Amino acid sequence: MMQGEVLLDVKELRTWFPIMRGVIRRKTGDIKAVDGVSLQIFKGETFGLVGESGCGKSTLGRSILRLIEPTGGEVRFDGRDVRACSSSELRALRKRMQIVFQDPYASLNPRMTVRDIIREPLHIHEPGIPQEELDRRVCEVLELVGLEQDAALKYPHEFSGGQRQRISIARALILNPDFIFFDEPVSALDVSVRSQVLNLIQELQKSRNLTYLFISHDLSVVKHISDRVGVMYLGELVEVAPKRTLFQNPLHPYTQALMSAIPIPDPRVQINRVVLGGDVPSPADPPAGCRFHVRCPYATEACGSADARPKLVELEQDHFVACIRAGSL
Amino acid sequence: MGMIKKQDKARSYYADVFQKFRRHRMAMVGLYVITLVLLAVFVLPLLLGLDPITSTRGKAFLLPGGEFPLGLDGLGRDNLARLLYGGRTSIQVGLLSTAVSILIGVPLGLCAGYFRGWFEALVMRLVDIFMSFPSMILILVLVSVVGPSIWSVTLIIGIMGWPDFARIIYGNVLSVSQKEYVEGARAVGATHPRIIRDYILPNAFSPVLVTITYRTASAILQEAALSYLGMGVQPPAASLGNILNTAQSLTTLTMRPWFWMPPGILLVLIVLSINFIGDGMRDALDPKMKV
Repeated sequence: MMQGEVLLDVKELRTWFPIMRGVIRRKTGDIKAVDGVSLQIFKGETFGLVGESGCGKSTLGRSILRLIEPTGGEVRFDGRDVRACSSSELRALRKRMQIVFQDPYASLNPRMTVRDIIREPLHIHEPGIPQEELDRRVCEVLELVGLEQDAALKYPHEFSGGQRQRISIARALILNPDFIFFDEPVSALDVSVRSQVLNLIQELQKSRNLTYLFISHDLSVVKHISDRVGVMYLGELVEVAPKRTLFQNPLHPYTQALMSAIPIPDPRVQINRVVLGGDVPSPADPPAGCRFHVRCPYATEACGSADARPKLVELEQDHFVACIRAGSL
Repeated sequence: MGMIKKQDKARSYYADVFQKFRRHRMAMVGLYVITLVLLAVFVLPLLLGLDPITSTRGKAFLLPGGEFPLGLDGLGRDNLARLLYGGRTSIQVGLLSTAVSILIGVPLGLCAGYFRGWFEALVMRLVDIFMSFPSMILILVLVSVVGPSIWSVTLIIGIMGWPDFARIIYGNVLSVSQKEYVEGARAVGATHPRIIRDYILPNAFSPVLVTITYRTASAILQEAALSYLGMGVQPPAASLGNILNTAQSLTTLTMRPWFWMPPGILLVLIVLSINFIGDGMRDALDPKMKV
C-alpha cells in the first residue's frame, strides 16, 4: 500500500504566530510553531505524527485544514491548492476532510442532542435533505461507531469519554470524507477504552477506505495505528519513515532519544537510555542551524552554523532524516 | 435499523429545563409571587373598576376602610388604585428598559467577543466609559434635558443598562469561542451566523438570563428613585416611586404607614421574586447542573 497516490501534499508549510507587545500592540516577533514542514500522505494510509507537547503537531494539523491560517508554504489536497481556496471553496472542501479532537468533553456542543451534532454536517453540505433520509443516515453512522439508536436523543453530558469520542467520530464520518485528522483522539481516555476506540478507528479505515493523519505523544499508540511515522521537534519534521523502520532503526538523534524513553515492561532488561539535557528552546527564538543541536549528544560545531539548517534527506528507501550527521552515526 | 422516535427536540429540551426549574423552591415561590403581583396590578384594577386619577372632593386623607381599603391620599385619590397602577408602571418600565438594554448590549458584546479586532476595542472601551460614570447622576441629567416622562425614563434607563449585557455576554463569548466544539463547527464548514446561532449564543446566554432579572430589578429601583425625586413618572400618573414621594412628609411617615408601607412592600416583593426567578433559571439552564 506504500507509495500509492498522494492525497495530501504539504510543502514548506509555515505557521507563525505574531507576538504583540505593549499598549499599541506592536509586533515584536513570531512564535514559529510550524516552520517549514513538508510531508506527503498517501491514499489509504495512516500517517502518525509524534513529538513532545508544544512541538507544533496540532498546529500543523490545523494549518493543513486551514482552521489556523498558515503563514507560508503550500498544502495540496487531492491536487487542489487548499491555501488558495475561497471561503466557499474551502467549505466545499471541508466535506472531504474532517477532524476528531483530543478532548471529548470540550469538542461536542453541550446544547445539542447527539442527533443534531451528528447530522449538522449534512444540514450544512446537503441542505434540503428529507427528514427520513437524515434519520436513516444518523442511525447508520451510530451503528457504525457502535452506539445504540437511543443515544440520538440524549445530550453529550450523558455519555462517557469513550462514547463521546465515538460520537465525534460519527460526526466526522457522516459526510463520507476521504481524510480525517485525529488530534490525539485517545490521550484523554481511560486506558481501558483506549484500545477499543483505536480498534474502531482502524476498522473504519479499512471499511471506508479513509486516509488518516494521526497525532499522538504516546509512541505505543502511534506504533499500533500508523503505517508511516513522522517525528516533530520544535516546529520541524526531523525524521519520516515507515513505522517498522523508524522503531527498529531510528536515525535522528532526537528520535533515538524518544525511542529509548519507551518503557519496557520487564525489569531485567537493561537499556541505554539517551537522556537529553536542557529544555526545548523557545519557538520564538529557535537555535540557528539544526534546532536540536543545543541538546544533541552528537552535535559538532557545523550543526550550529546558521546556513546548516538540515533538510529531510532520503538516507534509506522511504526513510527521511534531517540531520547532517545521521549517515555517520 | 430502527428509526429515531419522532419527538420535537426543542420541546423536550425546554421541558427538561422546566422540570429542573420546578424543583428550585425559591424560584417557584418567586414565580408564584410575581404571578400574583402581575394579576393584581394588571387585572385587579379592571375588575374592581379602580381609578387612580380622580379625586373625591373633601375626603383627602380619608382613613382606610369600607369602599377604600387603603384610604385616600392628600388629594383625595384612591390609595389602593394608585398602588396597583404604580406597580404596573414600575414593572412596565423595568421590563421595557431591560429590553432596550438587551437590544443594544447583547449584539454589541456578542460581536465584540466573536469577531475581536478593532470592533472589540471600540465596544469594550465604550463599556468602560459608560461604567465609569455614576449612572444615577447621568440619568438625572439626561432626564432633565429630555424632560421626564414614562417613555424618556424607560429609554434612558435602558440605554444606561446596556454595558451590563455587553460585558457579561462578551466575557462568555470569549470563553465559548475557545471551545473545541466551535473549532469543530468551523471544521465542518459552518458559517459565522450558524456558529453564532447554534454554538456561541446558546452556550453563552444563560448568564444573560440572570442579568435580565438583575437589570429588571435594578431598573425598577432606578425608576422608583427617579420618581421619588420627581424626575421620573409625572403625576397624576402613578408609580411606586412617586407614591413613596408623599412619605417625604413627616406626618405621613409617622402617622400614616398605609401610605408608604404597601408600595414599599410591593417594590421589595417584585424585586426579590424577579431575582429568585433568575437564580432558578440559571440553575435550570445549566445542563451540567443536577438540581
